[in-house]
Amino acid sequence: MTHRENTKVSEGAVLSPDIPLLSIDRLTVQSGGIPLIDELELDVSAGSSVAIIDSGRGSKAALLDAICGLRSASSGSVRLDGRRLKQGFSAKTFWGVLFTGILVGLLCAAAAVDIDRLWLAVVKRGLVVDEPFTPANFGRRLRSYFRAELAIDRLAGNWRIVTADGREVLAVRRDLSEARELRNQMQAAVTARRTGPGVVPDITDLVGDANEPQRELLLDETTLDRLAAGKRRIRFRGWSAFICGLFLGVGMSLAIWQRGRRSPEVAARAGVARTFRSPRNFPAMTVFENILVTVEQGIYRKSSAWWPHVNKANCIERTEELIRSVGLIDQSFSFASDLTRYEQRCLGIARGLAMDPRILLIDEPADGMNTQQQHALAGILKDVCKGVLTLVVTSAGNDPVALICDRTVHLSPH
Amino acid sequence: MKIQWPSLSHFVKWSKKNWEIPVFTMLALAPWFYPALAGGLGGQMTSVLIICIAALGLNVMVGFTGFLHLGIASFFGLGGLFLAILTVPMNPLEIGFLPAVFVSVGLTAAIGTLLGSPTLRLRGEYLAIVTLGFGEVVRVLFLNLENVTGGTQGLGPIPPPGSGIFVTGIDLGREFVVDSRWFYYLSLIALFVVVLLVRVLEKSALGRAWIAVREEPLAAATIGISATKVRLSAFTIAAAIAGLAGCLSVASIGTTGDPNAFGFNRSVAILCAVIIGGLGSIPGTLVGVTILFGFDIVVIPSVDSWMQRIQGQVFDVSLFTLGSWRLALVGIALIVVMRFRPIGLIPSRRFAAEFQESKQ
Amino acid sequence: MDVASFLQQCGIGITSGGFLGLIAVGYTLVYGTVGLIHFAHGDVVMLGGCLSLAILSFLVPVPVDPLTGCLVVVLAAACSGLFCGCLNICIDQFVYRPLRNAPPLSPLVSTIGVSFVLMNVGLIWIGPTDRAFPEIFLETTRSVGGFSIAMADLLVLVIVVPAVLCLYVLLRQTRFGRSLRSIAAITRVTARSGEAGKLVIATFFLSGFLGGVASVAAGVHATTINYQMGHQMGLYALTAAVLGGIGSVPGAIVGGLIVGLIRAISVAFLGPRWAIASVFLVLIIFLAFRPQGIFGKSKTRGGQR
Repeated sequence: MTHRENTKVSEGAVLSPDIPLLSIDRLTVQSGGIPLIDELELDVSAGSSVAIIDSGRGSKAALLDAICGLRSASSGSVRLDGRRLKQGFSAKTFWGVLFTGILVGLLCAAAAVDIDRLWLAVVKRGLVVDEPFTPANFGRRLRSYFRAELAIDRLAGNWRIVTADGREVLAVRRDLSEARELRNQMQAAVTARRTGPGVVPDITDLVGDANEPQRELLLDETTLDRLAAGKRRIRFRGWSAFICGLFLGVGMSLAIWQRGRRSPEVAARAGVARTFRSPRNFPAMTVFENILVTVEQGIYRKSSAWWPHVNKANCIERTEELIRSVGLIDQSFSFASDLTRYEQRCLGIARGLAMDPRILLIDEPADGMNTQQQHALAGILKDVCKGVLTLVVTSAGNDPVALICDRTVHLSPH
Repeated sequence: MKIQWPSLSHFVKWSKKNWEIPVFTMLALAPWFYPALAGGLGGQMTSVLIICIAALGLNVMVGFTGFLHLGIASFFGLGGLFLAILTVPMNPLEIGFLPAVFVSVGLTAAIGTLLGSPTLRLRGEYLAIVTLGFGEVVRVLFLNLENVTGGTQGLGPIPPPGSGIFVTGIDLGREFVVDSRWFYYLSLIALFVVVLLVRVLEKSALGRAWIAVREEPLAAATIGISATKVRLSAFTIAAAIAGLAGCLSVASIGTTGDPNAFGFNRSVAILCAVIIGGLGSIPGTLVGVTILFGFDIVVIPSVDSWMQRIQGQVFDVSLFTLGSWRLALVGIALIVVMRFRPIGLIPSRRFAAEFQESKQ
Repeated sequence: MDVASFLQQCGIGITSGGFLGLIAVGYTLVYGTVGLIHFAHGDVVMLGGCLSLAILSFLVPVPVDPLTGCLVVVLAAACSGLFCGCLNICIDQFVYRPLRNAPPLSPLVSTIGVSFVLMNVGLIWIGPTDRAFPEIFLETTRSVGGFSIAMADLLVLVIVVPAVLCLYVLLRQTRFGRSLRSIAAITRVTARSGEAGKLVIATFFLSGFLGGVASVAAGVHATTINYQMGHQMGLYALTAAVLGGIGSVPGAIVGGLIVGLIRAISVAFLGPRWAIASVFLVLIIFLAFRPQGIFGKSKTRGGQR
């Protein structure tokens, strides 16, 4: 789709300074296989106004959608001030992705090392054996859990020697000091087994009833091997789960970030404001609130602080100024849904201005308006915007609103 | 000199605008006029007040921001769980009530942010299912991490607020346990604070951003409101408020009790209460919760016992117990209210306007 | 865990996924036509299960040979399907239809209300405890090529596979199916009028029918039913519908199979308590990478809506 350009120079217009504010390069926008816009090239310089005229229905809205990020282009690019309207990979993104990855990794690792048993070993067991809860004790118990060492537990007056996760009971004794000594012996055997195969210690326990006592070996080969492998097992589980979780978290956050890169908010943050042909004002908010929320968001956009300070009085003042400039002062406190179509258009323009944008895209402002209203709109645009702001106005034909622009571009079919 | 007495219509208008003051005054003075509040009825009313707090949190998410949240009870449960873990004598931490409330609300809000970040970009229905799923996952975690949460028995006994504090020789902790009016007043104050907080938020810049995202997400995006950040803030605040309610609930009951009380049924009941009362409207939420939960907790048992008495007198045997039809009665009530007043009992001005707009 | 028992577990997962998929189709169909999440669907299925329990207890008081057993079960499935379909239509006409123009979340409250009512009916009908399905077959397992297949699973396949095939034929070949597929979401206003209204009724009947058939399969597979079964299965089925892309019928079936598989695998490796957690974690992770579900359409970006 080629375009014919009619450059109409009116008095006082500024003609092309060096870098165009908006530059569209071979933009193609398709809808279901049909190209609405085909390889469009357009440069708009700062402070100028362009009217884009096309008699068809879909292309103008598609063009504006593509500029402000509501629609993705099949090919070509849109640049504002030489930069594409895409969210870059900033330091903040990097730290966010890394943080998410580490968090997910920690959660996976916690699940893998069985956080339930960990809590039992570290928090609850201390109470059972009447040990005070000091940071030193806490650290010690945590370390011994991750070394899969044996611990002492109590059940109904008996002291038991258990594995750190509490799953296996190895021996039971009545006396605490005896239990402690036995535990140290067994732990020494396990630690020795970790370094290499050696002698199985002769620790036995008396089982069976009083008439036929038997001696049972507490730590046979298989048990010893299993206990010795416990440390490696838990560390393996923990680390592999952490790494899997890290990759998963990083992958998820990157996928989410990637999807949000080219979105309308990015364009708005860069300073692109847009009105819609069927006015999209916030219906159940008053005119005042409609503009106020836009002003506030404009301030948030400009300040890079985490929690920007918004001066309420300034906002209210600016809101009133804008309402006055489009002539809606009498309807300040009526809901936007109660306004006439003309008033809604004015509100849309006021909202666009409230953003304090660098470029304002106005979608078919003359649509559905009678001649008087069109002239009124043209007047508003001329007074408030022209020369100060860069304007792109779309229109179905040469109406008064389009005529105020410096340049006219026709999108015509081949 | 003519003194102008304020007329009744002035008073009514002022009340409508500042309805909190008469309502809360009445509630605060109620125990003097109705001594039954010192006993069982007080406990029931306390639980209704606590659910009101959680419902206000949900209202922030569903009413102001317009996103369906089917798992609010899980945040309710998490708040209570954290409080229990921090204060129960079984655990070595045992910090006081007030610091524990702060920490658990903070932790619950953090979990809300963590859950919200990947999921709030999804479309509405998907988000609803994700919150539903999160609720179920939390319920399963409650049941299965037995050492941490106490499993089906729950953690207890939870020391009441003010235990160990002696004021003019009275043990505050004991007072809380013995006289249910103490918890009643504590919940009332908490509810008042939350109502004021939500009102302030509604009128703030953040509140306007929430409403903008709800009404026209596309237009909101084009003025630079990051829908995700806005929803995330609402989600976090809803989680924090629900966590606060959970802390109070668990403290007043004394144990984390049955983890099924923090499940889908509870979430759904609170959601229904908010919608019946009127989305986005604070008095509506309170009325909705009072009607739904008051109906369920207070009315049905008393009507049931009255019916049993009458049946006993007339037939000598009870043929029909209302209790076994409780679910159906609540369900029918929901259907009827929605049929005849779909916008809610006390809708906010905005919702009424939006509904009119969408009808055209 | 050796390969054979893992495969067996996968088999169990796929069979349970089959009937989960049928229930998920119910959710997806209703959402696709009227834009409503029909929360009461799970409870409708549960009531279908109650009816089939009654029918089977009546017809098969003692275990019988495979052929008679299959016939009886198919009969019970058809009856249950009819019952659930009609119940769904009644719910729509009496409860949902007046609310076609209501504000967005109000119909949701009605669905929850209906769910409560139906759950209570189920409670009264079969009582608060689990009720066992009758033993239908004389032999409970049969070995086919080295694996032992439970007759119950075979029965589930006998019910589910024809249902899915019929559904496929219905949606692809008939006019009704084509009009169903071409409608993304009927606006609330037009759903009152003739052609669209008939379509809505047919949709509700179809989703109910499939749910009723699935309830028999679920009962045979789990061997018990419970009045809260509707909520639990509904949760899994709704997850399956979302995973597959809500509004897409093949997505619902595929989603159901995946959910069944995940559930079985997590039961095998982690124990039955963590099943629902695994399913939801997989859902969240999947939605992070593909938010529209497997077969769902991505969010339409553009000025027009």
